Amino acid sequence: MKNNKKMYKVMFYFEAALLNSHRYKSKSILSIAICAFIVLLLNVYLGNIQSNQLQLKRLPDAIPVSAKVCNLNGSQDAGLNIKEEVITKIQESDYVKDAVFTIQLKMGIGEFAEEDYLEHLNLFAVGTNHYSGISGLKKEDITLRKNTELSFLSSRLKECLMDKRVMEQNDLKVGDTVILTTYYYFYEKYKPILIKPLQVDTYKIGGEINLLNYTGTLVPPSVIVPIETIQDAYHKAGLSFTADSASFYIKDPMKLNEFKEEMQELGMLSVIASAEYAYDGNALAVRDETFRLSAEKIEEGLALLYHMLPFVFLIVGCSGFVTAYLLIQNRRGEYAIMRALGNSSFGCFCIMFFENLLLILSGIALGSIVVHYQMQTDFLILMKTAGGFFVFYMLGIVIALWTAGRLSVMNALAKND
Amino acid sequence: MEMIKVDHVSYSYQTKYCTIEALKSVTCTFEEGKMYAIMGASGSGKSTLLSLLAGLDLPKSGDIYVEGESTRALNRDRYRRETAAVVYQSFNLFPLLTAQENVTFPMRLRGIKKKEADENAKRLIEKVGLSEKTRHQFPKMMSGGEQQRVAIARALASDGKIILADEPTGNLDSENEKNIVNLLKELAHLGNYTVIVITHNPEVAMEVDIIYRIKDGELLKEENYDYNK
Repeated sequence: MKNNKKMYKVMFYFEAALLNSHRYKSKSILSIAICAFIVLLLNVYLGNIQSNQLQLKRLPDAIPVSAKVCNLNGSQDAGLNIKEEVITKIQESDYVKDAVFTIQLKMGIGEFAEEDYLEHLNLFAVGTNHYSGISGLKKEDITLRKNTELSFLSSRLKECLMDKRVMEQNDLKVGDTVILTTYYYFYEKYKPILIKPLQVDTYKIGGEINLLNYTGTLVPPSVIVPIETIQDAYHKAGLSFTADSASFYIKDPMKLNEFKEEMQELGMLSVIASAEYAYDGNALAVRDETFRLSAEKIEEGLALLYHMLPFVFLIVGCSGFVTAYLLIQNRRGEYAIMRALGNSSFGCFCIMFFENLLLILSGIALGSIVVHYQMQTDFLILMKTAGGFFVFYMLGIVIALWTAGRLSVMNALAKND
Repeated sequence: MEMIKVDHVSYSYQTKYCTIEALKSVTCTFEEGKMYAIMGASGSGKSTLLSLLAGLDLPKSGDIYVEGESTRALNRDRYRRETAAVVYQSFNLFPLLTAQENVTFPMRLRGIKKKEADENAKRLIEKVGLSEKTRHQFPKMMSGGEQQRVAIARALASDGKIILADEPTGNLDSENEKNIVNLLKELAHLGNYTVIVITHNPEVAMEVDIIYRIKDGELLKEENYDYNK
C-alpha cells in the first residue's frame, strides 16, 4: 500500500512536469529552441575539431615527406658513394618506407677482354630495386615479358630491362638471354672517377624500355638490372658495395623528430651548404617544409579549439543555469505554494527537474535531427555533443534548482499577499 | 479538545539593518470545532504566528504542540500535507491549473490515485458551493470569491483538521466575504475543524468564537464570544 502510494506520487511528479511544460507552452518552446540551437553550435564546434583531426591524420598521405641521401654540401643526390651500412640501416629503419636505391654501371653485350672495353663497353646501366629510381622513367615506357612483374627489380633474379633500340641493334627480343659484362665506377677522394671490371653474367631480358618519350634530365640507362644482383657481384668480387643514390619516404611524418634522431645515430648529417664538394653520400635532405607548415597550422588550430573547449562547456553549463534560473525565478510563487501544500523540497526539485529534463531532451532530439540531416555529422560526434551538452546543461539546472530550494516559503508567500 | 497549544513562542528575524522581534513569548490554545480570529495591525506578528502554526518555520524559543506533539519533532512537510492547510488572501492558486487540478494537487501529493483524487475534488468543489462549470476553469477566469472557494476546497483536500486562513476575505466584496466566513464557520462548527483566521476586519471577527489580539508581537487579550449568536 505504502509502495503504491510512493509509485502514484512519482507518477504525479511526472504528470505535473508534463502538464507544466504543456501549459507553459511559449516558455517550453523557447527552452527547446535554445537547447536545439546550442546542440547545433556544439556540433559545429566539435565537428570542426574532428575535421582538423582528420586533416592531420590524412596529412601524411596528402603531403608525403621524402628524403634523399646527398653529399655534405647538398649539391648532388646521385652519383654518390653511399656505404652499404647506410643502405642496410635505411632499409631496416621503422621510420622509412618505399626506399629506392640505384647504382650506376657500365655494361657491354657479350664477354670481352679488359683491353677491348673501349669497343664493347658502350651501354650505360643502372642497378635499382624500383623503376622510379630512374628519373623520368614512367611505368608505361616499360613493356614486360608475359608473367613477369616489375617487382623482379627488388629480387635477386638475373633479369633485366633493356632499351628497345639496343635490342634491335643486337637482334635481341624480350625473353632472350644475354651475356652482359659489367664495370663499376670507382670513386676516390681528390682523384678522377675510374671504371673497373665487376662481373660477366647471363641475364634474361624481362622487358623492353621505350625511351622515345623519355622526359628525364639525366642520360637514360640502356639496361636496368636488380640492384641486389650487383650487390652480390660486389661481394663475390670482394668489394665493398656502394649505392650511388638513395631516396625514400618517411613512414609516419608525425614522427619526424624520432626519424631524424635515428639518422643522426647512423652518422647522417644535415646539409651544410658551405661544405667542401665530395662524393660521399653522408648527408640527408628531408623535404618536410610543406608538411611541417601544414601540420603546424592544423595543430595550432586544434590547440586553440581544445583550449576553448572547457569554456564552451562552461558557457553551456551557464546557459543551462541561466535558462533554468530565470524560469524558476519566474515561478518562485508556484514553488512556495507547492512547499506550503506540504510538498518536500525534494518533491519540488523532482517536478521542476523532470520538467526541465523533458524540455532539454526534446531540445537535444530536435537539435540532433537537424544536425543529422543538415550537417551529416558523424554519429559519434553527435552523441558526444548531445551527452556533453546534457551533462553540463543539467548541472546548470541542478544548481538553479538548488538555489530555489533555499527560498524562504514564508517570504515568498508574504510577497504574494 | 485542545488541538494546538502555543507555549511561550518567540520569533525574530534579521533584516538588513536590525533584528525584528515578531513574536514575544506568545501563549495560547486552539480547540477543535471552534473558529478563531487573530487580530492586529500590520506588522504586529499575526502572519508570523500563522506561518509558525502552518509549520513553515520553527519558533526561536518556546514550542507549538499539535495534538500534543511538538512541531519541532514533526515532519513539517507531512504536517502541512495531512494536518494543517493554509488559505491566503491572494488565494495562491496555481495559475495554470484548473480549479479541479488545484484541488487534486494536495491529494496527489499524498499518493492518492488520479481517479480517486478527481472524484474527491469534484465533491469538495461542490461542497464549497462552486458550479460544475467552474471546475474546469483556470483561476484567472474566476471571480475572487470563486478563487477563495477553490482555495478552501484545496485546504479541505489535505484531509487535516486545521484550517489556517490569512486574511481570507481581504480581496473580496462584502457579499463574498460573508459567504466565505460562513463557509469557514460551518467547517468549524459542523465539520469539527479548528479554523484560525487572521484578520483586521471587525466584521469577520464578530463571527468567530474566540479572538486573540496581537500588538507588537505580544498577545494582549482574549475575548470569548457567544457561540450561538
